[in-house]
Formats: sequence, C-alpha cells, structure tokens
Amino acid sequence: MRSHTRRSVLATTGTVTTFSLAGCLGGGSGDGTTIETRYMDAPGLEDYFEKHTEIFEEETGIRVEYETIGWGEAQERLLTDITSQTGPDVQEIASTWIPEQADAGGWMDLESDEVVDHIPNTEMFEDGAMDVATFQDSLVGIPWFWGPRAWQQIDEEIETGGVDGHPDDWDALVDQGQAYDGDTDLFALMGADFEPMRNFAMFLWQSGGQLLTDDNTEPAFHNEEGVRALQFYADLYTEYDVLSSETVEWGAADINGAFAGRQMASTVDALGTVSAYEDEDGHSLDDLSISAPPVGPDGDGGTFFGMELLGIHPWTDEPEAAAQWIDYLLRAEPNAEISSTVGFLPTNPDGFDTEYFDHELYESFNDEVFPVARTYPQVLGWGEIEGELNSAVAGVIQNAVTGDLEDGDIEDALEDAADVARQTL
Amino acid sequence: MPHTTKQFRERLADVQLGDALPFYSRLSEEQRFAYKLLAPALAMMCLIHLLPIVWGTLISFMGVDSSYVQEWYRAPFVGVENYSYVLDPRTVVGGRFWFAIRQTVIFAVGSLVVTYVLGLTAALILNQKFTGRFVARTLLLLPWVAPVVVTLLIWRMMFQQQSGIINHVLLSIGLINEPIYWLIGDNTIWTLVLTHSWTQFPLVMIMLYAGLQGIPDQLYEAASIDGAGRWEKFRYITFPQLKPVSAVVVLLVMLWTMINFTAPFVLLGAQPPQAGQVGILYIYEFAFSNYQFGRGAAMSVVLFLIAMTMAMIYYKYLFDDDFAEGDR
Repeated sequence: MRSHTRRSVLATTGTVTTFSLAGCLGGGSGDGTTIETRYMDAPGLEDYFEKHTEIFEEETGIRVEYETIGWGEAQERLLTDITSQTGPDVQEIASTWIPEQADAGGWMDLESDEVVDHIPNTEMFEDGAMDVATFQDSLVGIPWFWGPRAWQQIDEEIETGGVDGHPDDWDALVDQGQAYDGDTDLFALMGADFEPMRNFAMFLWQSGGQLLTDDNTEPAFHNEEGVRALQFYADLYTEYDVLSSETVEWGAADINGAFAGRQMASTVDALGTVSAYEDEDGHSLDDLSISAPPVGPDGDGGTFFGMELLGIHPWTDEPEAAAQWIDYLLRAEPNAEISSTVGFLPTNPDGFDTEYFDHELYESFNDEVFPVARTYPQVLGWGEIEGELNSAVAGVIQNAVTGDLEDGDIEDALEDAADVARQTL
Repeated sequence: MPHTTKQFRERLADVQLGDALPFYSRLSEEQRFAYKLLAPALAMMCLIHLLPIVWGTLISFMGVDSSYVQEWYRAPFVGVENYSYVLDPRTVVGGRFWFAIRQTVIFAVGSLVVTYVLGLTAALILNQKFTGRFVARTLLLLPWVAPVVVTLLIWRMMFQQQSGIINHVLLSIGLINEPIYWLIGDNTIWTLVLTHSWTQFPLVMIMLYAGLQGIPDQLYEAASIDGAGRWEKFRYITFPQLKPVSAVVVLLVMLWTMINFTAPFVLLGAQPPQAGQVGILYIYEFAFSNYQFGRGAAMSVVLFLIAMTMAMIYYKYLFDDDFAEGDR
C-alpha cells in the first residue's frame, strides 16, 4: 500500500512535470526564441507593433521585442552597433545609408543559406526596389515600404484659381502658375534638409540627365541637363514666381500642414501630404487627384522615391527567427497597414488590394507614378556626394530667393560638387 | 573604517605610489595626499577626455572609412594625407572646412560678446536692491533651465520668414520694410549667435552675479567719498574686480560655443545653409554620413588645436599677470 502510494505520487509528479515542461517549451519551432528589433519612430507605430508582435508570437512562438528611435540619433546608434557588433537582430534601413553600412559589415546577406529559405519571395518586388536592396551583388535588405513623389492637387482649389487639370510638362506648370488666381499658392515644394537635392534629382531626370554615368564611376549631374534642371528649379522661385519664396525654409511638417490646411493647391511629394490632408476634419481623398510630375522639355519624366527596408544584422543569434519576422511583416495585410500608418506605399503589390489602399488615388500612384520613379545610385561614397550636391543646390536656391544668385553660380556650384564626386568615386 | 580626517589621511598615506612614480617620492606629505584625492577624478578625466583625444588623433593619421569601421586598427597608416586633404583650401572639401572654421570663430566670438554683455547687464540689475528681485532672478534663469531643444525649436518658428513673429514685430514697428530671411542666407550665422546666446547668458549672469556679491562694499564707499560716479565705479571697481570670474566665463563660453552641436543642429538642421555651417556640424556630417572617420578625425584635431591656441593666446596676453600673481 505504501509503495503503491509512493509510485502514484511519483507517477503524478512525473506527469505534471512532463505537461509543465511541454507547456513551457511547446508550441512550435520558435519556442523560447526572442528577437530584438528596431524601427524609426513614427506616430502609430506602437499600436501597430503591439498588435503584430502578438499575432506573430501566437503563430510561431517567437517573441519580438521592439524599440523605436528618432531619425536624429539613428545614424549614430547604427554606427555604434556596427562597431561593437551588438544591437538588435532586425532593423529598419534607410535606403541612402546602405552602401556605407553594408561596406562596414552592418547587414547580413539575405541570400545566405541561414536565411534564404525564410525571407519573403523577392520576385514580388519591383525591379527598382530590388536595385536599392542590393549592394555589390548582396541582398542587404527587404523592401518594406516606399514613397514615390507624385503630383498631388486639391482639385477644388485648382479650379477656384482658374486653371484646369494637371500640368503635363514644365511649360504647362509655368503657365498654370502664372495664370493661377486663387487665394492660396498654386504649388509648393519642401526646401529644407535634403529636399533641395531630391527636387533637383527630379528636375534632372525630367531634363533628360542623370546623377552619375551608367557605370557609376563619374558624375553626370553637372552637364547641360543638370544646369538646365537647376536653372528651372531656381526660376520657379524667381523668374516664374510659381514657388513661393517662403517655402525654401519648409520641411515635412510645414508642407503637410499647408497642404492639409489648403494653403496651397498642389505639390510634388510622397503620401505624407495626402495622409495629412485626409486626417483633417471634413477632408476626403476624393478631393485630391494624383499624377506623375510634369515632364521636361524633351518629354522625359522622372520623380524621386525614398524607400525603407528591413535588414538583419550579421551578429544575430537568431537569423531564422529574424527572417521569419521579416517575412511576416511583408505579408500583404501587415505591409499595407504599416505603409498606411507611416504614409508610404506597400512594396508587396497585394497590399494595394487591402482596405488600407482601397481608393483610386493609390491606383494612380501605382499605375502612373511608379513607372517614372527613380532613386539614387547605390554606390559607395554616395553619402558624401549627396551631401555636397545638396549643399550646392540649396545654396543656389537660397541665393535665388534672397536675390544673391549671379550668372555662372549654377555652373560653379555643380562643378564644385562634381569635383567632390570625382574624388569620392 | 576611519572615523576622523587624520585616520583617513593615515590610511591614504599607506598607499605606496612612491616606488612606482619617481616624482611622487619628491612630493611632500600634503602634496601626496592631494594627489591621492585627485586620483579618481584624474582617472575619470583620462578615460572620458584624454582617451578619445588620443584615439581621435591616432585615427587622423589612418585611412579609417566604412571598410574599417569594425577593425579600425587594421586601417592603413596614411601619414598626413588626411590633413592635406582637409586643409587644402583649393579643394571643395578643404574650402568648405576652412569656411566652416571661419563661421565657427564668428559663432564663438559673436556668442561670447552677446552672452557676456547680456549676462553682465542682467547680473548688474540683479545686484541692485529692488522689489521682486527673486522673481526677476527666476525669470532670467528660464532660458537656461528650459530644455534647450524646445527653446531652439521655438526660436526656429519665430525666425520663419513669413510666419515668424520676429519679422512681424520688426515690420510693425517699421525697422524693416520687407521680411528678412533669418534661417537661410548670410543672416544665418547671426541667428545662430542670437539664439545660442539666449540659452547661455543666464549661466554667465549667475557666475558674474556671484562675482559681484564678492566685491567688498568698502571699495564703493571709498570711491563715493572720492566723488566717483556710477560709471567710474563700474569702470574702476566692478569690472576689474570681476576679472577673475570673467576670465573663466569668457574661456568657457568661447570653448563651449566652438564645440556646440545642439544649437546649429536643432536650429538649422543636418543640412544647414552655408553661412550656418559651423565646424562641429560640418565635421559630424562629413564623418558620420560618409563614414570618413580618418578625415573627420583630422578635422576634429584641427578644430581642437584652434580652440586650444585661442585659449592659450587669451590667457597669455590678457590674464598672464593676474594668474602669475595667483601662482606666487
């Protein structure tokens, strides 16, 4: 009796222990795995990640911790991570930072054996997105969301001002700007931070030029097309009076506020302005229309797109789990939701079929703007060239609005930037 | 546990450093005690200040770029190549660097003048006896105790060409005929000087105010008997008596301004107009955006040497006699 009791106790204990361990450890391949992730801060991100880390953990057993950081500190944090080989497993990558960070060994090759079977199918992405994600034949990031800049207008304001339709080319833009008789400005572009460079790139492509030669070994932005593009950009402020001089100080918050407040009728920008407009009481996406920006004198189109990617740091202990998390975020629904939250467009084309992008405005982005969207070359040293060229363009634009721009300044500014590009490349 | 200062000193005296450091054996007991007390702070100073300076100087002679971020010690030794690259005014980078240094000097000297004048004026006012002096002192400290980023962002809004209140006020009182660009163009550096001075002057005010409190009343009484007026008292008593405090204040404000990153970065952004491109911002952008740490370090060393030279000249020619007296 006594031994029987002891046996029962032992059996019970063993059973309980077995079930307890199963309860603690069971549930799938990711049991007990935790990955750390980091993203650039934006309104609404916390709710998004609270929701999706929970769903992901239920699905895979992998726990995802997340943090957000501001753009101002992101570069330094990343540098510290790369130098010390510590930090999160998965991180958001800004497209323009890829060459230097990849060269410094900051990102894992996502086609390596450890992760290639777990990342999203890259065939779904546009070629332009994959070009950005690839550096020196390595896939360093998965395109997450992107923002091509489109001509956006508030139709009612445009009509009130006595002009009609979208400007097809530079001449039409100037004609409309001079004919416009509304209470607000017809057109505005951001002019602070790195915006002058992005605007210049857009005008350069529209002018038929390119930033670097095809083999990325020489600057090409300082040729005839470059000078014409920058001259046109400056003339929009001064000669044609299409751009208001105050906008040269404007950053994203300024232009979003002005567009949402109907203090301007049109812009060339990514979805941030559209989202800001939609968020205002009484405003609807039906008020807006979208098209590709005006083409240049020879009919060339072009607009800039920025893109955010997701990458895995090579020091991760959990590459498989990290890749699974990226794969999850790139599913149509989560991808569309994050893109909508931060004011960008999904890189997964199926994201356009979700409720978040269920409006013809987004179809216009997809159908008309994507085909002419381009971005910077992924070449080592581009950061230095971009900074120099941005200073040159910003200097020209600022001198134009303050009345200090003289003949030959545009050529000199571009030539100076080209000198730096030659040394860098 | 030592219970008295004497016991503590005896315990500390047991620590044998004399064998390891020859100079140490030549020191008196008092001096040894002083050095031992200083040792922890000195160690921290070495760790926090000296080590980065030495390391920065070292990599300024090496080709540290993105390829060597993880293993900087493997970067090739390039001699003075980084220095010749950043110091050559004929190149675009060299030209921009020298221009940034010039703007840094304007920023430092301009901020120093404005900060000192504002601080001294405020300190003199606070040194008077009047009702509400406590409230005035609190109000005058606000620019310094308020979060600097918030303060700078508010200034940024106020300086906007069309919507900023500064232009509105200047237009309404007829001082200008059309709105001025404060955040772009040549005015940028003066905008920077004004805003930075605004955030710094309360510190100067407090230090000078403390100095004013230490001036004996007898000096003013004697001067009054001799028939000195307000200006004479300030010229021959107040200002000279503040000289030791001023020496510290001037040096600190000048050096802190030369290496100030927050004000230009928050006010003008990562890509400031050329006139607002001060040295520290240019070096940061150049080094961190491009991962050009060797060349960035060379720029930092040059900026460091310029700041040190200015400080040495300042002490040598303006305060040499006073401090020599102090030494005696």
